[in-house]
Order: sequence, then C-alpha cells, then structure tokens
Amino acid sequence: MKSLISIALLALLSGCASNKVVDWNGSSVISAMPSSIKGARFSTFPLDKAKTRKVETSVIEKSLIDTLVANGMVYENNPKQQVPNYFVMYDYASDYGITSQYEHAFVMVVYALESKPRQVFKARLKIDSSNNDTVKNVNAAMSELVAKLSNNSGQGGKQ
Amino acid sequence: MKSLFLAMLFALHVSSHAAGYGAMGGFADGFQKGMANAQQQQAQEAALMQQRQAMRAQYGTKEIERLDFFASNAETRLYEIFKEFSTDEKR
Repeated sequence: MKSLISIALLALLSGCASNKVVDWNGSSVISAMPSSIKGARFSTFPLDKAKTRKVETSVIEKSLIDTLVANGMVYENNPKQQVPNYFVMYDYASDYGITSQYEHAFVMVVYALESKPRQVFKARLKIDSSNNDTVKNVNAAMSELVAKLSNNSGQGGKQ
Repeated sequence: MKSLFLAMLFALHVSSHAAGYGAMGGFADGFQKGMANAQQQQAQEAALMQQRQAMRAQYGTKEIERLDFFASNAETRLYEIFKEFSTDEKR
C-alpha cells in the first residue's frame, strides 16, 4: 500500500514537472542580473517596434512589470520625464516546434544607463509547448526565469 | 492469499484484453496486437514529426528569426528610443 502511494505521488510530481515549459538546454542566460537592480527604477520597451500596439504585447509587458516589481524593482511609468536606471527590452515569438507542437521564444535585454548605456543582462528562453497560447507560455517562462535568477542571485554564466 | 489475488487480477486483465480485441488466441494474440499498436503509434509520431518539420520549413522560424535579429541589435533599438524621447521633447 505504501509503495502504491509512493508511485502515485511520483506520477503526480512528474506530472507537475512536465508543466514547466522552458527548455533550459536550448535557452541561454548571459550574465547575472546586477545585485543593484533591487530598488532600482526601470522602464520596459518592446524590441520589435511593430509589436508595440499588439494586445499580446501589452499583456506580456504587464506580466513582466509585475514580475520585476514583485522582485524588488520600481516601475517608472514615464521614462521621458524621469529617466530610469534600467531599460528593460523584451520580445516574444511563436513558431511550429520540432520536438513539441509549438515553440515560443522570449528575449529580455537590460541596459543600465550610466555615462554610456551598458548591456547588463541578456536572456533568451526557448519554450516548448503542446498549446499555442503564446501569452500564457511566455508569462510562465518569464516567472520561471525571474525565480531562477532570484535563487541564483550573484551567479552568472550560461544556464 | 496475496499471490492468488494477484494471479486472479492478471488473468482478468489478460482475458479482458483478449475480449476487447475480439481475439481467439488469448494472451499471445493480445500481446501481438499490443505490439502492432505500439508500432502504429511510433509511425504516427514519426509522421507528426515530419509534418511539423515540413510546416516549419514552409511557415516557421520567420518569427523567431525576427526575434533573434532584434535581440542582437538591441542597442540600435535603445538609441531609437532615446531619439524618440528627444523628438517628443522638441514638440
């Protein structure tokens, strides 16, 4: 009976694990988030200007802002008036997958505004999924990325 | 008692499979059909993979290629944003 319960638990846990959509082997996280990022002001910008007015973009941007704010950053709504410390740029894309039905990608590039803008962070996530819900998958991947960064704060390199 | 119960369960399982396939050969037949099903499933998966590759060759990668282009040219976009700021100020 005990072994049956263990098997059931194992199956349940592996089922939960399969909900993770990020293919970390196909993803890259270049450099660690600077430790000074906590408490710093940031603004967000889509890398692809053509996607600015898309509904998908605003939903993904909102999730990105919420995730970063939850991790101690301060969102600057009006970057023209109050120049932020960090410029967070992002993009997302969706295609037919090879190993899974769909493949999505999410990119986040962060520039610090010093005497000259300097790139301080770059991540590219490969997301494999059986559903074509770009917004849902990208948002989940983004939370996973930020959680991973919070756990490995101070550690850099390709993950 | 426990092993008897397990043997009964196994027998029930095999016979239910045989009945399900409408076969006369019992376990051997069920086993053969099971193998055939697995092969069929494998073939279906291979066909699906081929289909995805064909779809990708026809329509795919363009969006992700576009994303990679923007990601490698992030600085250009940054200066474009600065330019937008200064243009707005002049207005």
